[in-house]
Amino acid sequence: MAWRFVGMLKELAISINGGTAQIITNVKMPGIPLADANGILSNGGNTYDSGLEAGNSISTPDAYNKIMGLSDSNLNLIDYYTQISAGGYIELWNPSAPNYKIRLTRTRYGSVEVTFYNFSLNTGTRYSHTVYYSSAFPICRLNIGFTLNDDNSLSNVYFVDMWQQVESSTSYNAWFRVHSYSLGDYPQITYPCILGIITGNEIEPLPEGDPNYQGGLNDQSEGGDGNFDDTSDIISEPSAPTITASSSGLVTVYNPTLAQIQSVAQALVNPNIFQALAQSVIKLSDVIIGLSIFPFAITDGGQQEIKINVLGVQLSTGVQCTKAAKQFETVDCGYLDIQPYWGNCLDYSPYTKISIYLPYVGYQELNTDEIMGRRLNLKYRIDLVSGACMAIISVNSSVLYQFSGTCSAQIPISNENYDGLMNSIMGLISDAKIGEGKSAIEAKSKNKSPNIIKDNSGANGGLFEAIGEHVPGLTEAAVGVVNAIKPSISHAGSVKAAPGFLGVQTPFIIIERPHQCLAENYNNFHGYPCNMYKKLGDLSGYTEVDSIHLNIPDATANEIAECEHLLKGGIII
Amino acid sequence: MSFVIKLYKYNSPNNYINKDLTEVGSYSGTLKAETSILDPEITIESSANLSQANYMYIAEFHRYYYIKKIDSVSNKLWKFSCHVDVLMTYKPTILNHSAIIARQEKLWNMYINDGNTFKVTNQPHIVQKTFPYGFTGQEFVMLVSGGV
Repeated sequence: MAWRFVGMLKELAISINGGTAQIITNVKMPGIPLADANGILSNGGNTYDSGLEAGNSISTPDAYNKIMGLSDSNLNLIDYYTQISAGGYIELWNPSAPNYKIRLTRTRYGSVEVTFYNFSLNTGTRYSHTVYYSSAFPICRLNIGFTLNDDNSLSNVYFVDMWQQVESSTSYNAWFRVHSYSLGDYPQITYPCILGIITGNEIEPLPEGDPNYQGGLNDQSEGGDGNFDDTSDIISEPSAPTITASSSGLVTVYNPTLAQIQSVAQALVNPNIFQALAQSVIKLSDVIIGLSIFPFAITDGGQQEIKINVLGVQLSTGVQCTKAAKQFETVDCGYLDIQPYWGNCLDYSPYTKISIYLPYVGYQELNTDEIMGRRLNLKYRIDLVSGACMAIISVNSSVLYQFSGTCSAQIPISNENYDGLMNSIMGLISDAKIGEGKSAIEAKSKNKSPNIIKDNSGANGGLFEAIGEHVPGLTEAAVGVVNAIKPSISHAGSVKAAPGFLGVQTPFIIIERPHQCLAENYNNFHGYPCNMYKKLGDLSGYTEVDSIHLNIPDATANEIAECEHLLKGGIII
Repeated sequence: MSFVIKLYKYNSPNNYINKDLTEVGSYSGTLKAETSILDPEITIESSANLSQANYMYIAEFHRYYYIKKIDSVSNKLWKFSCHVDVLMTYKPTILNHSAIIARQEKLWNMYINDGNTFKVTNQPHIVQKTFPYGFTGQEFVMLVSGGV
C-alpha cells in the first residue's frame, strides 16, 4: 500500500476488532526519512506492491514492512492481520484525530483462497468511482491515498481497489474501483489522483476553478459592429448549355409539320426502307427516337431532308423538314410588379400569401416577404430532347426561384412508347398533391403573427393614484394569427407533360390578402406603432412613450413615477 | 398659511397634458390644518354652489389638482378631496423631454407589427394577376437517330 500519512505526527493508533488500542510511535516508511517537524511523511515516490494476495511471495518482514509502510521493531501490521480472521478488522487512526479511523477487514472471495482487504472509514461520505486506467505499472490490489486541504488537514481518503483486469497482458489494463470517503465536499477522482495513490506520489492538486474567473462577464460593450452591408449579388439567368444532342451527330432534332410527319410515315412503308428494317434487328423506335408536341414555336434551323439511319446506311425518305436550330429553347413570359396594397405589415407574411401557377410545373408557394414590392420575371428553359423545362423566376433581376417540370406531350410510335407513356402519365397522377400535407400546415401554423396582449392595467405598486391613465381596448389580441394558421390547399394536381396541355397555358400569381379591420380614428385613441426618438414638445396628438428618463426637479419621487406611468400609458399632447 | 385657490371646470380627457380650463371661482384663505401637497383636502366656505368644479389650482403649492370628491359639509362649507395632476403641473418640463415613442397619432412606421394594430377579418381577398405571355401554339418535335 502506498499512502501519505498526514498529521499522524509520528503516532499511529491501532486496534483489533475494536479492542484496546495500541499506539505505534515513530511511524516511518522504510527507506524514507522520518516524519518532518510537521509530522508529514512522504514515501518518496516509491511504488509498492501490495503483496497481500495469497500466492504472492512475501517472506521477509522487511518486505511486509515496506508494503505496510510501517516500521517498528516491536509491531508489525502483518502480525495484526494474522490475528484476525474473516469478518475481523483492524483499525488505524491518528490518536489526535480519533474520529478518522481506517478500517481494514479481512474476507474471503468465494472459494478462492484470496484475501481481500476492505477498507472503510467510519466517518465521512462514501462515494464510488470507476476509472479505467492503463498503465505499465504492475497492478496492486489495494491502495490507500489521501488528499489534503490547503492546511494539510485530511480532506478525502481513497481506497483504490483494482478489482478487474481487462486485458491479460503486460500493459496491466484494468478497471479501477475507487472508493472514497469525503470529509468535505464531493471528492474528484482524476487520473493524476489515481497515479498518485498507486505510486505513492503526492497527489497533484485537483484542478480548481480560477477564483478570478468572471464566468464570461466583461465590461466592454460587444456587438453592434456589423458591416451593415445589405448589397446583394445579382444571380443572372443561366445561359443554355452549349453541348447539345444534335452536335453529337447521333441525334437530329426536327421540327416537322403535320404534313411532313405524315410524309415520313408513308416513307417508312417504302419497300426499301421497310425491307431494310425487317432484315435487321432494328425497330422503328430505334430510328425515330421520339415524337413530341411542344407548346411553343421552335426556332427554325433551316430545311433538311429526313434520313433514316439503318445500320450506318442513310436511307432517304425524300421528306424535307425544318430542323430545330437548337436543343434548348427559351420562353419568356414577361414580368409582373408585385405592389403593396396597404403599405404596412399586412402586405407581408403571414397576412398576405402569394403563390404562382406555372404551366407544365404546377402551383408553387412564393415567399411574400421576398417578392413584395419587387418585379418578377419569368422565363422557361426547355430541352427539346427530353421535354424537361425549368421555370426561372427572377426577383429584381436576380434569380430567386427555379422550378422544374415537363412541357412536352409524347406521341407513342410503338407499343413500347405507348406503355412507357401511360406509365409516366399514371405516375404523374399518383404523385399529384391533392392537398398539402400535415407538415405544410404545421409549417404555416408556426409562421404566425405574435399574439401580444398589451398589459396596460395600470399596476403601479400602489404608489400613486393614477388619474388620467389610458385604458387600452379590450380586444388587443392579434386576429391575424387566425389567418396565418389556415391550411393552404393546392389548386391543382400534376400539370406536367401531357396533362399540362389541357390546362391553363399562361402563368399567373394568386395573391391572398386579408381584409383589414381598422376602426375609424383608431390612431386618435391608440396611435400607430412608431418606435422613434422624439422630443415630446414636437409632437401632437395621442402619444405613448416607450422609454423616458424624467428629470423634474420640482416634483416628488411619487409624482415623477406617476408622470412616467401616465406617459407610458398614453397622453394627448 | 394663506394661499389662493382657483377652482375650475375642465373639459378635456384626463390624459390631456394641456387641459382646457374654465374658471369657476377664486378663493383665498388660511390653511387651518395640515394637508398633503399631493392629495390635499381643502374646505372652502362659499355661498356659491361649488359642486360643478372638478379642477383646482393652488398657487402656493404650484400644482394643479383633480377634484376627486366634493363633500357638502354644511350650508356654505365645501370639502374638496384632490389629487395632483402631474401632467398639467409639470407640462413645460415634460414637453422638453425627449423619449422613445412607442405609438403616436401622427408619426408612425406601419411596418412595425406590435400585435395590436393590424386586425384582420377571417375573409381573405383573392387576387390573380397573369403574366403578359404564356405558351401559345403547338409544334411537333421529332428525334431521328443519326445526323447529317
